[in-house]
Amino acid sequence: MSSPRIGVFVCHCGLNIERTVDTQSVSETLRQYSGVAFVSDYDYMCSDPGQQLVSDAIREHRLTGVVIAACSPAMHEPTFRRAADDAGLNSYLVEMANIREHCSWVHLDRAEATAKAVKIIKTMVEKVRGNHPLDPVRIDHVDKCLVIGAGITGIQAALDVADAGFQVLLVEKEPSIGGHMAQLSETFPTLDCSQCILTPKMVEASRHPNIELLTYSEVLDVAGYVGNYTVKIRKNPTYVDPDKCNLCGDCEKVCPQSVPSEFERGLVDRKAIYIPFQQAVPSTYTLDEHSCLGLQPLRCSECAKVCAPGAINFDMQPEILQEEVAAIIVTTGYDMYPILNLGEYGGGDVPDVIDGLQFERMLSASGPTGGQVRRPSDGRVPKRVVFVQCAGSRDPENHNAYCSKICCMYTAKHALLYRHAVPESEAIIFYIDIRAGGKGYEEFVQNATEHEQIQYLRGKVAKIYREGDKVMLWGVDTLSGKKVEIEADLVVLALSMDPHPSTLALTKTLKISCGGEGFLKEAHPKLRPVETLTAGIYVAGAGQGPKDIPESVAQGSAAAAKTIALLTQDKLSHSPETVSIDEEICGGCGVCVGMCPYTALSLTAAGVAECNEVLCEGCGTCVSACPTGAAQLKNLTDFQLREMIEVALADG
Amino acid sequence: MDKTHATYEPRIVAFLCRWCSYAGADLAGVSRLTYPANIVPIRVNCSGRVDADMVLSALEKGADGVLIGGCHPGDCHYVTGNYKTRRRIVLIKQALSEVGIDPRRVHLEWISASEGIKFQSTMTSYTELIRELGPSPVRATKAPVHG
Amino acid sequence: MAKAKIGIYWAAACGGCDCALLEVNEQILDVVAAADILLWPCAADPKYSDLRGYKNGEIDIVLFNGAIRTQENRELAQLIRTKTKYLVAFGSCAQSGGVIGLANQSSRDEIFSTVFGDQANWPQLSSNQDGYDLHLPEFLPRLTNLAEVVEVDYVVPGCPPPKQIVSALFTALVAGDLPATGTVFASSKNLCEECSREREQLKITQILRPHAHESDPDKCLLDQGFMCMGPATRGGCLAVCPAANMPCTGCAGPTANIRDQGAAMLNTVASLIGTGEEGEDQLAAEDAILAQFDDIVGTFYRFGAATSIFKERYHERNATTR
Repeated sequence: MSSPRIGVFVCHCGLNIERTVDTQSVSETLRQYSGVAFVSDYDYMCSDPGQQLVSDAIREHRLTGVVIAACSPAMHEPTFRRAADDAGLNSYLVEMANIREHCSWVHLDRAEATAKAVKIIKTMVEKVRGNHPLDPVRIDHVDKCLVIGAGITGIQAALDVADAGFQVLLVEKEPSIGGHMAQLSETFPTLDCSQCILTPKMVEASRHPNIELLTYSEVLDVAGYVGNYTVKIRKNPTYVDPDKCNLCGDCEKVCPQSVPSEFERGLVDRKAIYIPFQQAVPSTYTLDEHSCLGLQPLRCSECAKVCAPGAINFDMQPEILQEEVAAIIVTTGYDMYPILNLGEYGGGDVPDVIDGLQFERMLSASGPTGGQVRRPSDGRVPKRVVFVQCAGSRDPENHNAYCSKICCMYTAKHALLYRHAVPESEAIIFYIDIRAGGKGYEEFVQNATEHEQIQYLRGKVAKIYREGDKVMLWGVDTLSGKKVEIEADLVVLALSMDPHPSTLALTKTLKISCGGEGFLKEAHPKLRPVETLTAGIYVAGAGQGPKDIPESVAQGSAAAAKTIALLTQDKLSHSPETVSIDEEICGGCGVCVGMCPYTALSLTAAGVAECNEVLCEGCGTCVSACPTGAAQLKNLTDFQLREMIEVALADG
Repeated sequence: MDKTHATYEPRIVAFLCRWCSYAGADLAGVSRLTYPANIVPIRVNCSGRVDADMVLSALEKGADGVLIGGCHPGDCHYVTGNYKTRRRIVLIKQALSEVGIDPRRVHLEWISASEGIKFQSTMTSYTELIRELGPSPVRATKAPVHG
Repeated sequence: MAKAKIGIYWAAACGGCDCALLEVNEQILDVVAAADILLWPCAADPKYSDLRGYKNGEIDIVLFNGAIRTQENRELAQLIRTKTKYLVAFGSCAQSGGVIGLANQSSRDEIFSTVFGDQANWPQLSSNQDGYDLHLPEFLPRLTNLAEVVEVDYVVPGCPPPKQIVSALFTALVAGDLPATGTVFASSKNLCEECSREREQLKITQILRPHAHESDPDKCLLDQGFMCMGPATRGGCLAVCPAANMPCTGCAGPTANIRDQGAAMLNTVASLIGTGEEGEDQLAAEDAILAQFDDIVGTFYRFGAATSIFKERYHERNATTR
């Protein structure tokens, strides 16, 4: 190999670098340094003339590598790599020496800062000296995406991707799509009927030519990588052929088994064979094998006897489907914090203490009470309802530490709808403070307090218990400082939002992370809110953190946009700074295989390690663990690091 | 302080993971948080890339201190690399201790991208510590018997 | 073709390397047929003056075993270097200081006290016995390998070098077909390649010592908790130690890309420690395993201490501070 001809370009960054680093002296020192063929300094290297200077020098001096001594690589590495590429130098032969953030901005003594800048630049000269030209890894991909969870977020994401012309596999664990939004009565702050705005989207999702709907199904396994994930899905048997079922409901009438209805949140029962709700999609019955008396026809089979179209098939088996997808959108949504955890509020013990979703079902015209508010205990219409916000939220000692974000709004809505539904009624809300950030939200709450005679009591409820046919609340009004004791007919707890219980297991299957509270973790809380650290896997909706419908829908669309951006690429690109294995050295001990968080490493039949560069993210953990030095990170080898360390510590 | 200490400027190399500690150093810079200039940073993708050879090489090449900066437990960009480095550093320190080198010459610190102030305070206090410890005894290794 | 001239020399050594030369059995006859042995203190009785009498570069190749412990070792290494075309570091001590490199953790006085007892019994550099002036070579402050004293052309690793490796060297020598200088006469791969033990997903959940625990003869020793240096050690010995239920101690040194064998093994072991799950909740359990080591340098640097940062003992006041 011919001797290196490295160019060093020292940026003044106006005075940002020049003020504390003597760029002239730095340039002089570097000019004498082995392998450096060209040194230049300039006011703003990132400016057009600055980049031109770099490009020209690459051509004129036939540079084999470039070090830009300027700001953090996080700022301008792409800028200069592109400039070098345009000038015919492989972009991976360009490195940034960070003499601004790590030097001129943090040191005051000019001599010290100048000496340190020289060392920083020399380390990067050594790195560039060992760098090899690399080309991005190009990956073919399939043209399909998987959406896990078909609540409003998943539906929105699926529709957006499908409308862009790509295939979508929409997987839902429950018998119907729609999620929690299907349970809601009316939505704040506009009071649209929830089902009226949701069901058209459900129908659209089920009929869209580009969407394949898999309900009552679960993702079992995910392998592969961005562009080429292989997913295994189990479609659980519904024991009802949806094509034959005519929704007559005869089966339901004769079924002898009743269990609490999940959709109605236990306010009423459903049968073992059931349709979750009238607008369910797909519109068909499901036989729940866990509550069915027995799938052996001899034991019961009442439903099959009465089913005129013969839709019931006790022999239906789970199906395992294998699908190839390029990207995965995870919209697993939320569940209510378990009411049983709130023993101090009579959770699970006092029948007239219910949660917000149960109240939604009561308020819903299609609900078990036909839209009337009635006490679960005796069916009477309550005259005084007390709403308790932050039930299980914002309580780091006992419950969830976080704010569930939507409760202030839906409680105001609940109180308002209750006041409209029951004349001569009294609605009292316990709150810590009101969080009504959002378009039209504050106005909605203001209206509830000023015009709907809803009484807001600032304070926390200490205890809720049953006394006779009443529910008693003890608490403190923190504005007056007085203890309050209220006798209520019904108490509605605004329970905290939990990540759906299936979230944790799914994140392990997908090898993505959860935050401390169990919600899906995004790549960056601000700048990459719907991406994960695994390329091609996106998160959206309440599974990522408590949020309301508009935010969930926006995230669903955002995740869809990311997916579409991926799917529209001809080939996917991946950093080539990955691990290489020297087969002459590797003895196949297999230490590296277990190190890789991305399963990029495996042992070949010949007994040596092999790195799938598409999966490799270049962390180098395996390189450190490799006992033979066979595994090396391209362009940051052990050898390069040793040279960098040596110059970092050398005199002068 | 003896004579060697009086003119002694600690030489410290810092291996910083790209996603957390290096970015934390960037933030310290953007925030103009000053600290001593004794530390020369070397960027690695993950603290999981930092191995015993790098740390011991640095000490052999004359480092008075070696600092490793990684993401906080649970926050590793590459999921679990930082845990592996943590274990390596425990063993390295123990080995140094066995041969009479102050193990504080190797130090692992979790510094996130948002902890510019922690980066500053770590650099400042670590430089001070190493200044107090004096030059590394490895620097004064008995002359090689070559030639 | 003139017969080749070869030499064999021992410095600070146990003699095992000389014995290992004969393990090739009848092949030694081929060597003698093809070459004259000019120097072999173990088998003949050459004098310094004989060696000094050779012209520079007159000897074709010298197999040098043993480390450099004394002034005599050093001088002879330097003298041999001038007289031979090719110098072979033969065996672990010449290659990397060997087990005796661990003696650098003790001072000369400590070593002498251990070996000779009371100071009155310590050997003197100069003394007079029965009217004869006796001179002993100086005991160097630090033991080194051969390469720290003179340039080395080939390495034959092992403690002692196994016969197939010695045989390979002799074959090349007899054929007059030595490889490029710098060659290490062993496998380019690590020992695991030659080891027949079963490896599962490697993880280390305990640290066991071979004298105190019985090992499963079929499973990877490292996986069981025995500190087998095989992963960080060159193959070529056909993994005889693990085959005999003895963890590899690393005598053949590291593979080509590794600068520091002990560091490489330390990295590997630390990476594997734990239950296989990573997380904050695992830290205490990991620390409990890590605490089971009581001699890291002696475990991972058994043969390489003299060529590593652990080549001597340092004396920092707070070396035990955590």
